[in-house]
Amino acid sequence: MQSSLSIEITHYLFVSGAMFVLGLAGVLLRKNIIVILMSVELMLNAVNLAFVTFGYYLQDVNGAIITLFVIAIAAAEAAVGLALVVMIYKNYKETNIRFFEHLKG
Amino acid sequence: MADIVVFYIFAGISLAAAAGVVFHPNPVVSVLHLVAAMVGVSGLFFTLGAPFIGMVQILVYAGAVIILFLFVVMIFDLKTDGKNPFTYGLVTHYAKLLFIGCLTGLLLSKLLFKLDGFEFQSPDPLAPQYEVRNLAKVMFTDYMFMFEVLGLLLLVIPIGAVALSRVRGGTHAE
Repeated sequence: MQSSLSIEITHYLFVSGAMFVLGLAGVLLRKNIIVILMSVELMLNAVNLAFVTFGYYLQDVNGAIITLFVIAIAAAEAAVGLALVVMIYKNYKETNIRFFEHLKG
Repeated sequence: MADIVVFYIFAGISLAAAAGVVFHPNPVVSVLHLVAAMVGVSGLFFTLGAPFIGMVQILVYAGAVIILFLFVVMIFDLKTDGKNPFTYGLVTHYAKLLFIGCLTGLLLSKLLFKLDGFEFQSPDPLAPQYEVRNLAKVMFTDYMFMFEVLGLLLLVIPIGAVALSRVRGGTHAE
């Protein structure tokens, strides 16, 4: 049994898991599509934290490399997602996901 | 002792700001909470001995992505006059809450009960595994192809974003 007075891997993984669950809650529960995209960014951040934590505790540099790739792809995903949101807002004048759930024209 | 305090400060900032992103009704305030969450995660990267990743996190997220989100939210001029910001439904609402609870329980059970079987050596603070030199060595040898593909992706993505959101009309209107 480890002493609870030092920071172990489970502390970091708990933060990562809690942040992922918060992001999932945002994706499922929010109406505003921009906030949904922000929650996706939160989930990606939680995964990055888990990657870096495992890489640190396994003495492996691959965790940090994958994290760099995830950050770059998250930036690209945000750019395309926000372009789609701008297009949807021009067509529907609305960001509530209820109003374009049928995806017609 | 100091590392414990620093960890709890950054973890608290991250989780409180993440909760603010999800639960605050105003999207502008959500974006600002997201900045705080990114900075908190970046601080956690620093405590994990990865200062380069932390700096990239701040530069790319707080510098580029969040500004993009903030501009989109501001040009939409969203009104949040007392409307419920959460989806609702008779059955689906409880189904969503059930899924979130299931994932929470799964993660908690994995973290609290199952992880003791693994052997993680306590990391040597002098081991320079996250030095920029080591990162570059691995990235430009083992991951060279992935790096090139990422460059191609970053070329294609702006073209796609411009093609999606371009204004029809303007100086080239028919």
